[in-house]
Amino acid sequence: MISILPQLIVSGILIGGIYALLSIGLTLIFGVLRIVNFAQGEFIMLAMFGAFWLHQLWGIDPYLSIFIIAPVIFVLGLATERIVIKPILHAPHAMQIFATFGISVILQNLALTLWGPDYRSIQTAYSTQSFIVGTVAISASSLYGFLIALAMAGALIGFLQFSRHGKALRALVQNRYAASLMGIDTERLNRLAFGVGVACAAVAGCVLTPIYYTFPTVGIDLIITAFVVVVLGGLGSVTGAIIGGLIIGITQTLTGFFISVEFKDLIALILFIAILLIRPQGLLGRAGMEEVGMK
Amino acid sequence: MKQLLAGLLIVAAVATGASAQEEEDWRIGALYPLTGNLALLGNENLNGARIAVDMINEKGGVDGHKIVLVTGDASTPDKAQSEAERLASLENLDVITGTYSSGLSYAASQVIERHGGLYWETGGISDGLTQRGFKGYFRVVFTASSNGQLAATIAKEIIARKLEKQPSELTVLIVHEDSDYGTSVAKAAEAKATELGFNVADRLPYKATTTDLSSLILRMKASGANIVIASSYANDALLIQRQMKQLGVNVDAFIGTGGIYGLPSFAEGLRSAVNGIFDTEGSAAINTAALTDDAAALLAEFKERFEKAYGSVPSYVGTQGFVGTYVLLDRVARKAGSLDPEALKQAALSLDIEEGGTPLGWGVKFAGEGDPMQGQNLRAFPVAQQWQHGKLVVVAPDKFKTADATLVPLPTWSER
Repeated sequence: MISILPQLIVSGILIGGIYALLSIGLTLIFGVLRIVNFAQGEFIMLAMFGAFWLHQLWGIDPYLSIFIIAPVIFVLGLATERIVIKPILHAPHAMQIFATFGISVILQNLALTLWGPDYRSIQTAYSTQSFIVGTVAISASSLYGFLIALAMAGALIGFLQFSRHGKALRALVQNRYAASLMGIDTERLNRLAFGVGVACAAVAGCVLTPIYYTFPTVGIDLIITAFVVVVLGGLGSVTGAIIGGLIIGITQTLTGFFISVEFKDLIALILFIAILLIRPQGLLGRAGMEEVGMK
Repeated sequence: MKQLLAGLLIVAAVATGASAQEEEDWRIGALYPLTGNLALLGNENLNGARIAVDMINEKGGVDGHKIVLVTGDASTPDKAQSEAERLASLENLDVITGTYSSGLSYAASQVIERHGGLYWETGGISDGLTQRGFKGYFRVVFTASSNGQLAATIAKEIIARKLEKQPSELTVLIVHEDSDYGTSVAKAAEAKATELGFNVADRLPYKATTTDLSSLILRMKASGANIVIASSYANDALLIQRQMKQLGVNVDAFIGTGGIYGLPSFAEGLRSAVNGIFDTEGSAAINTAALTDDAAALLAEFKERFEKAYGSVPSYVGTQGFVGTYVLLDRVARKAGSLDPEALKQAALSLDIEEGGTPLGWGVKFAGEGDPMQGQNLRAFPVAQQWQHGKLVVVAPDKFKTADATLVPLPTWSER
């Protein structure tokens, strides 16, 4: 039993990377706009369909298609922000939930109409490949996903820390009113943050296409854990999303093996509640962040 | 309030007016999940039913009445219930067919039973559906437990025999998604495998929406299972196979119990690695020599029409929709001479079709009142299939098979 422990930890880290990948865009959008984007999973789904068709029609590798699909989804995100998000930015919390949930339903049914309910999948050389290190098998597609998650988080943190727009975004997160008094164009930054946030979802979608089936409601399955990861890591914290993803991933794999596969989510969620009891703002969140919608 | 009442009266007047105009047509409700998670197979099931209606109508309808399907989208149990209510109350329908998924059937049929109507199930297999003592609930398809039992039976009759081992020398592991469907199939498989003398390592439930099953696969590895029986939903089936390969877990045989395991998308996701995997459910590819001439001709016509209408070969789910609906219209409604639920119930109970009399090989004989499985078709059964050269062929029972089982034991992943 113990000999299998290294494999469990590695598998846990790899799925944790996938969770982080799914969560980064969500946490960015929340941090800046203070909106929970319930349509995030559907942007992932759109990207998966994009990667699927690019591979199917022109044989483009899903990892390469990131460079085509992420910009397209970025522009789609800008448009969505302008049309749906901006008008409800100061609306009651419930209305914001309905609006983003509405986008999610529209996108799901759009995909259903355009591409049908079929389960589609592509097979690349690395879809089922794994690297064997000693007694541990490392899934190639999950490893690449993990590395891309780290690269994406690194790029995002670098952007927030060092670029002019990034600094302005951080100022916005800290104090929206003071930021606008300092001459920061908050409306433009909101749009930028939403666009980048859903572009992160697009990257996740491309990375997941070789692993999962692509179908109109795949986003729901994928995004549920991401919500947990985002809250656990601290709303708005990119590093928190990575750490949160790893904690949930490793806990699930260990409890799935040693206790019960069925209870792996349950136990991860109990841990989640326990952590929030001690740190209501999440692992790396700023105190007060969790009170969105209360004011 | 007065305005509301007046409004309702107008609606009622319009509704009766409309139905008076269409007196000639017989309207039947069709409840299936057409959007959402179950949309793929829900639509497929309905498409089969539509072909049945078209064929009946082209042959002059039932007693000169044209059949019209009134569809409802039952994408979730809540919606199944409200759509059933709508079809029964607002559309005034007495006869509802459906529902593909057991969970949806539970919700919708409750409403129809309360209205005193007839619920004609052509898809949901959960045993409990026909254990409620409902008088107006009839199920044409086989039960989940018969499917699970078949999986364990072929483990002995086909797999153990090919491996030249006794069941007591073989370890069986059962994995399943934890909804009603997966659980009831898996429990039946577990009981049957134990009864047949297999060493059953465990029965492991998991959530179908999970994004990772590595812990399940590692438990499979630790159990040393020779034979795995799996009830899965969609992504979980793909994950099981792909993660088994990634983690280097080889088994002698893998049996899926219907659903995704019988769909072309499953083969597409695995390419050549799909070959050798077993699948237990009904099949439109059974040996037609075992059918009556009428049933064989009906199956051929159905396949041709389905391909023409929808551009693909009908899956089992599409075929069960066709067979169930065709039996309802051609045998039950014709005999009853009306859509009166009481007359239909009597006609259904008196139905006596021998095995081989329908395109899926089934006969039809419903368990009557007082039977613990009241309303269940006692002559429906699943068959065992295997993926060979990227296609499903029937390998058991002998009467219906079109090929012999091969690839037992399964080659290791590097050779697949």
